[in-house]
Amino acid sequence: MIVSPHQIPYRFFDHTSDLGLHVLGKDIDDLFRNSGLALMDVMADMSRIEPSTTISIKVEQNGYDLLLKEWLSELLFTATVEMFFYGAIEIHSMDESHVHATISGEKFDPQKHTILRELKSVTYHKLEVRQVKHKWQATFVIDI
Amino acid sequence: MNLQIRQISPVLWEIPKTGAMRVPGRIYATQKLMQGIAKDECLKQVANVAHLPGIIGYSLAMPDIHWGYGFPIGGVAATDTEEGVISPGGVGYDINCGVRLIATNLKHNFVRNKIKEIVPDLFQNIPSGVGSHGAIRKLSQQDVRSVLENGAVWAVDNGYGQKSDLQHIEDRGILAGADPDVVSQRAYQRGAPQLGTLGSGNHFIELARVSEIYDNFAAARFGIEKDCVVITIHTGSRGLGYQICDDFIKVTLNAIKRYGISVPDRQLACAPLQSPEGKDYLGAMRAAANYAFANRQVIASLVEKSILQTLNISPNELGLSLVWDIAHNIAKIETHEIGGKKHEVCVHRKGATRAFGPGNPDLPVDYRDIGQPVLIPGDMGTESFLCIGTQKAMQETFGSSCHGAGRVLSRSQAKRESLHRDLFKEIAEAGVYVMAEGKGTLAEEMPFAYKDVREVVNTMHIAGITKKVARFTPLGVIKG
Repeated sequence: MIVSPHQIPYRFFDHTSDLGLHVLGKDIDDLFRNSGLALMDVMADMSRIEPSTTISIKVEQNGYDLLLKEWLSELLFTATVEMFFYGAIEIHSMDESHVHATISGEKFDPQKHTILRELKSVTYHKLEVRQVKHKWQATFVIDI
Repeated sequence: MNLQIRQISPVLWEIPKTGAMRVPGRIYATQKLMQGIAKDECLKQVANVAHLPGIIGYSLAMPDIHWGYGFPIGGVAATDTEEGVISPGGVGYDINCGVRLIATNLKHNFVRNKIKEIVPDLFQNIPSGVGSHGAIRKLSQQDVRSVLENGAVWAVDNGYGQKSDLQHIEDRGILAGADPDVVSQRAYQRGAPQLGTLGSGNHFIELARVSEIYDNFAAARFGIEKDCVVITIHTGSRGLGYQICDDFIKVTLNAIKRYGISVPDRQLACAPLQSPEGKDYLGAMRAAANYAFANRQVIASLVEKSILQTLNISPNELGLSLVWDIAHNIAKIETHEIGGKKHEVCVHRKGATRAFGPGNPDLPVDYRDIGQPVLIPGDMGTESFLCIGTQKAMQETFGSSCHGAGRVLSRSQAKRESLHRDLFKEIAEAGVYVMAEGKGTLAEEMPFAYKDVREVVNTMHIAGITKKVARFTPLGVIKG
């Protein structure tokens, strides 16, 4: 597992048209936090995002894999439509049917932030959350 | 999954019907292309699509096929409108992503000398919309609704382009049956600031030289002359389309449970065309398609304004004329002849272009005797093609053909290939002046990431599905 410059444990897997990601977490909370951070890391240069304000995010779905998709879709909407770029995530509570978290960041500023690529959506293709030995792994494909 | 595949002709292959496949799969490709195609998961995806209820004939793939999500990119599937399903994944996130080709009076030598002025101005005047504002004002909720209902007609009514343009847009730039009431508030929110924006990824605006004419008669009819310059615009429905696709995959994931439909990949979630869910998706998808038609119409108008300013010439001297505007991510209700009988079907084209042959009543009068223009852009360093649809396309592929070169390298492979290379210099040495938002985009979209577009186009030419009319060589490109 290659650790990104921001210490988020994720790597790309080869997918011909889109972006395939494998993300690791120590536990399920850590996995969802890392997946959310990986999403922002592929979208923008995170080193310039300052955690000056916070937004509360709540999502519900049944099952970890569909919940992950819902969680990432909500973060993507917040980043690309609300234009709120986040650099930190705190998971307050979660189980197989909900996530309640706070994301910290700031409004996108074109003078300050660098967008690396536009992400269209997180897809359901190859979507998976599973426990591997003592760690958790998420797999998902982003349409770009 | 070990797929059997047998060669039917030098350019056609078949995956026999096995297991729960309802029809066989068929792939148009030369031997050389098939070697690359067989390397990733796209053939499995052709077989997966063959599981859709009501699929008719074959699960088809064009020679630019590559691994997508759910459907392969380059996939075509027709489903029965009474017994079959519609799948949002069979259209994709960028609903009515498409291509517009515009002819000009400009000669390539003149443009080549001015390209370093034209391209930066276009780059400045046509925003990508990624972290930037559109070149036109943010639309109100009511405006977005009107765009969703009226498509390119909205754009013309609001001063973008000419009424005559509409004749040369697929479906005249307005898909009937759009339902703005089933479009989510989030989709409206995403659509409001993005009309007139290009987007990123493989979206682009290109100026190219007409470097070869294969069919003088058709080229003359399309207003294409050798050594003149043409403009290609490639974009779609932006965030509004992405949101609608996402919303309805969720709806159809529930629908497959409700209607007892089994699909091998969740991204192939679907709903019966006659169900409320299926009808709602069709209405929302058509609304997004109309947004995309309006988007390309607005962008074409912005391109005209930008070039007129840069070159300080009159509209007559520039002489823009719309050759054609096509959708290559869409589902359409069409009537096709199957086994000698007319049959109404829903044709999903996921990275595939409609390619209607001569005589089709859906074509405008001035093109009806020669067939529909089919626009096949290559990658930015090489070439693009203008082709025409044939009767054989109507018989074999539900009037469909390829949509581009098709990727061979993943984006990360392309980036690895790009390390230690001066990409801007390489492209410049190929005679193309490129401006892109970031080096990342450029690296991912370099020619070596794509198949040889000539091989792709020739496959369909040999198969008799589309015939070559002209070839274009790029001079300048802007990418989001």
